[in-house]
Amino acid sequence: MLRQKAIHRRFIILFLIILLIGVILFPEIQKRPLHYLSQPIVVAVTGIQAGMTWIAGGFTHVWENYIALVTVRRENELLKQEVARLQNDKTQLQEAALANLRLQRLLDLKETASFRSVAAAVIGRDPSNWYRTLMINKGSRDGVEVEMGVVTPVGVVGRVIKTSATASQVLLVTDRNSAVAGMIQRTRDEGLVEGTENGMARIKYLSLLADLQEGDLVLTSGLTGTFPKGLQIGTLGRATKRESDLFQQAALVPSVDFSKLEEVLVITSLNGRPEHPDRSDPTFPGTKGDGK
Amino acid sequence: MNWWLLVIIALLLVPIQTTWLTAAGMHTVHPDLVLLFVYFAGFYGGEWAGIVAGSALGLMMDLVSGGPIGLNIGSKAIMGLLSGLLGRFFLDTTATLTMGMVLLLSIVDGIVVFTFHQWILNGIPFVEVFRWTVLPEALYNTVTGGLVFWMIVRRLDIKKSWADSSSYSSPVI
Repeated sequence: MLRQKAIHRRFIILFLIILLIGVILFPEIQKRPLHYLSQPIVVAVTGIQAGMTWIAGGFTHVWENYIALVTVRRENELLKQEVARLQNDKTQLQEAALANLRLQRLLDLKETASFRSVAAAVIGRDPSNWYRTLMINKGSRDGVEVEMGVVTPVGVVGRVIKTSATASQVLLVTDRNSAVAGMIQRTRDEGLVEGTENGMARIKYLSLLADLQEGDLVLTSGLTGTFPKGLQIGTLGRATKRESDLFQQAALVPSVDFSKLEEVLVITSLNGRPEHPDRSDPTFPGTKGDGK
Repeated sequence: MNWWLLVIIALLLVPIQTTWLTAAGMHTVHPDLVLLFVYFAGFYGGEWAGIVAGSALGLMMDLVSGGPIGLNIGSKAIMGLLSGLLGRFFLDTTATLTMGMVLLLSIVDGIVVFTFHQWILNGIPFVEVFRWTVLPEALYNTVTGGLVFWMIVRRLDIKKSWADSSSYSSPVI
């Protein structure tokens, strides 16, 4: 009995070996009969595979989107903080770039102008609406004195009317108490620039024969000792000319926007500048030695 | 009597008016916080408080203003006195009444300052000054006064010092 069983097993093994050799040697067998035989198995296996993949995907989705969010939330907070910090940095850089541009223009004027000057920052404005003045952060300790002229690269600002050790007050050209000797660039007619009640300015005492045109540039005439000749004050507006008057006058639009002034130059001397301007001038804001 | 608070406000109010408040200016006019403070000090604290607040803050203004020393001391002290006198007629007030009184005081303050200027600088055109300085400032003060009343005085429930005591010479701020 055992012997018969062993013989039967050998035949089966032999048959399988022959079948395997036949499959290897005759590929046609793979294409047809085996193909049909393996189809149900493949379908079953792939179906199970798909199901398991779906389950795994669902589990991953639930895990990543609903369970494992602790780190994501923390990461989101960190990223938000980072975005806020970067936005702040960006604003500061933009502000620094603008300040650099303004100071560069001021430095250019300081170096190329024919006068000696001290740079100052605007720290305040007049508390009342009756006067148009600015407070600057340079005073008698820095060589600033009453009646000194104050300018920017754009044009004339005004003149110093009060000083203390560390600060000075500047009367703007738009104040009604201000008077600056001016000259129309095109015609060379001279007049007096003074402020008006509405915060603008006008040029008075112009000759009746003067040919005035809107848009003409008005410059300092240099007749008074406060400003050198040729600094821009503003542009001419509408002129009023009546036959009964001895002079004519015209509205003047100042070149400087006084509401946005941040840095100015105080003219400390009209008698020329040093041949080799010192860039490390400690009186200039933002330069080495300024202490800022 | 909280005089220390008055001193602290006096030290802060004028710098605020010369720096931050200029950003809130319309054309060239900004509200006069000093006048508003003097009004409230006088109205709620009495004439003496108004005069002291007006003189102290007026001096602070004169020190940093382009005008002569004494102009704001005088005008603001007068406004403090007038506020105190106005306060005698009302036990309490409303935002509308406050705005009306601030408008009145601002115009009177403008006329006082104009008169002073006319005295030292002849030939200032009143119509121009009224149009470009006095009226815009008065209107701006009126709106700001209403806001200050609504946001500070009402919320802090500031009462008249003499409403519950016999003395009306000290500010209760």
